[in-house]
This record gives sequence, C-alpha cells and structure tokens, in this order.
Amino acid sequence: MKLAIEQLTRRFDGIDALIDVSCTVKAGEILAIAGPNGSGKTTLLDIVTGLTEADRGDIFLGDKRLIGKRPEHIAALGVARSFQIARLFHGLTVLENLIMADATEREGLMSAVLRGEGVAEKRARERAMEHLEYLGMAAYRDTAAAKLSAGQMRRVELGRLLMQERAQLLLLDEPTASLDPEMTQIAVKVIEGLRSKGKAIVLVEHNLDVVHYIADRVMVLDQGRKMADGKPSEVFQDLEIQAIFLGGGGNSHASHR
Amino acid sequence: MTSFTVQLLMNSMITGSVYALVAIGFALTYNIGGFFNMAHGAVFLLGAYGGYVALHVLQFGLPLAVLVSAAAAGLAGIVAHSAVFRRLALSEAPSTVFFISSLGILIAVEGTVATGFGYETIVFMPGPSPSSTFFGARVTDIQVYILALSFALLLALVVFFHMTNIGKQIRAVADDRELAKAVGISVNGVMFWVFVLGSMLAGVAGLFVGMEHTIRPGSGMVAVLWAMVASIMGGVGSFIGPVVGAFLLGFIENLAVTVFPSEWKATVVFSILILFFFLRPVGLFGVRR
Repeated sequence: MKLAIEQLTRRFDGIDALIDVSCTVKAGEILAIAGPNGSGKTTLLDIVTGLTEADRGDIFLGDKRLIGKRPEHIAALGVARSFQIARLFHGLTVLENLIMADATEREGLMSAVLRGEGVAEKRARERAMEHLEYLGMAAYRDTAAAKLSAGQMRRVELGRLLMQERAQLLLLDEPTASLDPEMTQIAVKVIEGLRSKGKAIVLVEHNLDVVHYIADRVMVLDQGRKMADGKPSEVFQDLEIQAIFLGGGGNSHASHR
Repeated sequence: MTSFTVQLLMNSMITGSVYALVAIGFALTYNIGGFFNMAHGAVFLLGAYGGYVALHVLQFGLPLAVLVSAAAAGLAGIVAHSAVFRRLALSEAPSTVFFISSLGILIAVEGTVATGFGYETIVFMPGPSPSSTFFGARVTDIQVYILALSFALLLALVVFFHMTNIGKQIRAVADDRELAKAVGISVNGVMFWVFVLGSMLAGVAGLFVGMEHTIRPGSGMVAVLWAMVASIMGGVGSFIGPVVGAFLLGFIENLAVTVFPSEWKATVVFSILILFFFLRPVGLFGVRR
C-alpha cells in the first residue's frame, strides 16, 4: 500500500519542525529519512501515526486519509512503528509485549474477556516465540520488559513489528540504535524481509552504512525542510547535502535525529 | 503476640481488604484516564444502597445481596462511562473537566440517594453478630465473610490481569497509554472494562461497609477520599501499590483509634498522607517516570 505525504507543516512554539514536506513510499520500498538533530524526522513519524497533529498538509495510505484519525485507528488501518528510544510495556513480560501487538488478539472485547487463554492466543504465542528465537530473546520470554538492556529492548521492539503482520506501512525510528554489529545485521535482514513481503517502510536511521545498504531512496531533512529525495548513492554525492551532515557534526556514522 | 496486637492486625486486615476493593478501581481509572474519579464514590454508594434494598426490602440472602450490589454499581459504572467519560475522552477534554464531571456525578447520586432513603444513617445489621475468638481476638461471622470474599475477589483480579487478554490490555494501557494506541489497543474499550470491574468491586465494598459499620449518603465521598489516600500511599502507578496502601491505611486507622479519640482518625490519616507527599511522593510502589 502506498504512503503519500502532501505538504506537511508543523510548528512548535514558533519553531518550524516541518515545512511543506511531501514524499511518497510505495509498497515494497524503503525510504530512509536522514538529517541533523531537530530536522523534523521523528515529528514526521509522530504525525503519520497520529501522536502529533499537523498544522497543514495531508497523508494518505492507499485511498485512506490518515490526517485527523486517532492513533489506534491509524494502527488499525495498517500502520506500525518503532520508537527512537525503544519503547515497551515495562510491566508486561517480553512475550506479553509481543502478543499485545497481535491484532487478532484484540478482536471482540467480550469474546476476549470470556475466552482467556484461547485458540487465537495460542497461535499468537507460537508466532511470538518463533520471532523471539530468531532475535535471540527466547530465554527472556517471561522477563519483565523493564529489566531488559537497551539493546534487548530494541530486539523486542523488532519482534513486535514482526507480530504486526497486518501492517502495510512500517515507520522505523532508528531501529539499529543500541544494537551490536551482529544484531544490526539481523535487524537489517528483518527489515529486508519485511520489504520483500510488500510492506512500505519509512526508516529514520543514524547509521549511514545501513541507509546506503538497505534504502531504495533517501529523503534529507534540514530544519524542517526537504533538501533532497533520491537514491542514496546520488543524494550523498551532493556537496550541499554533505555540508548539512558535516555541519551537524556528521560523518559516515553521524548522529542526526 | 498479645491479643491486643492480634485484634489490631485482624481489624486492620478487614478494613484494609474493603478499602482495597475501592482503591483498585480508583487507581486504575487514574492510571488509564489520568484523572481522580470522584464518581467512584457514587458507584460505591449505589452498591451499598442496592445491597441494603436486596437485604431488607427484597429479603435476599447475603450471597444474592453481594451480586445485587456488584450489578447495581457495575451498571452505574457503564452508564457513567458511556454517557459522560467516553464522550469527554473522544472530545479530548482536559483532566480537570473529567474531575469536575466526576464530582458532579457524585453529588447528583448523593442527592438522589438522599431523596429516596433520607440523610439518616442506615444500619444494615442491627444487633450483635455471632462471633468467635481467634488467638484472643474477637471476630464476627460477618467479618470472616467480608475478609474471605474480599481476598477471593482480589485473588480473582490478579488471575484476571495475568490470564485474560483484556486483563493484559488493561495492564498495557496503564503502563503506556500512547504506546498502547500506537499498537492499536482501543484505550476507550479498555476504559469501559476498567469502569465495569472497578465499579463492581466498589459496589461490593459499599455493601461490606454497610454490613460492618453504617451507610449514609455522604459515605460515597468518604470512600473515594479513602481510596485516594490508599492509592497515593501505595503508589497510583502500580497494581500492587493501591492494595498495599489500602492495608496500610486500615492499619493506621485502627491504630489511631486506640491512641487518639476516634474523631481524630481522619486527622491522623491525612497527616501521614502529607508526610508521604514530603518523603515519598510516588508512594511505596510507585515509579518516577
């Protein structure tokens, strides 16, 4: 399903977070968003997921308009996301965190309350365990999320994305942050796997090696403005774009949220 | 252990278990809705008077009266959520509007109850109740019933939160409301169940207070204030906190009346609450986020 963002604008306390930003992401495509700190990357994800309101502009997922909808409705329409700082339900176990992301588990509150541990939950539990094993987190299934390290939380967050099978658009906010090189490779494989399933993916990523390797296109933001949109190899050749990253203290692994 | 100590602990357990039934729903509504729900006192009151009608007008037995109390309060919780709080949530009203609306509901229900039953104090169980002695402490049959049923309900609630899907959703939303929305959990749907369950427990607590002490239209406000104190002492953000807070409150209250005149009970309780604000504002089990 295609994501279309049209002239998105948002100001916070007189500061422009986003100014007339437009872009599209097709099904089976990865659009990376890069830019220095405060360039508007996370704000853009927050607006798409309904956690922040836009001042102006429009967003469509396929033929469905997302602007004005509540976060839970947007999620139900097929939008899943991860967060800049991995975010889990701290009081729930690792396994429960994954099961909560399974949409079939939430169908019909009355049946849910009567059902308890039912067929759907058994299926969700099996799927969750498969993902946890792949991510090397199976041993932590009954551990409270609050007790995990930052890297472990990031892995569980990836597992949660894998559980959201119905999602057609994935918004990933620095999914490789806090991961060691080995786990970063697994995360990249997970993201590639999701792309091969036809998901549209928006990737905010600080690791430019990952962007070069995985992204089909990259959009560069600076102070809320779109500065470039194209293939990573072409965009990062542009001297003006290189200056943005150097100005933000960047190099090939620059931190630019 | 002296019989005085056993009696003090026993009385504290009985009082604490009843307070816990009220505090759980109050704290959950705060966690998920982000406001102090004064209408929790209204459902307590309706549960109490519903139980009184079941016992004395309809001449039901105690088990059936418990069901009537839970049903009356649960139904009132559904009406309050559907007619008022759900609409406020959809219009994204600020928490002060929720609070004032809930206070309005409490005052309206108090007035309605007073119109039907008068302002006088109602005694549910006139005359002495049969009792037995336990390690030197005197415990009435009614108290044993209250203690056993309260603990059974608390245990059932623990199972519900950990074994059922909606229980886990309630824990998830109480943990991180924004994340819950982002993964597609309906916060309003969860809030509905919190109102139903929390109100039913408060309703049963209303009946128990009537059986153990007395009830009058002002009892709803007292119950919600005590639930607030228990929740703050235990820590509103946790599940175990309000329960522990309720037992602590029960202990403080029963200890206070042995040391000071009973009129000073509320003064002692609120003085300790203020101490909590200074020394441990997040409560015993609360987490600073």
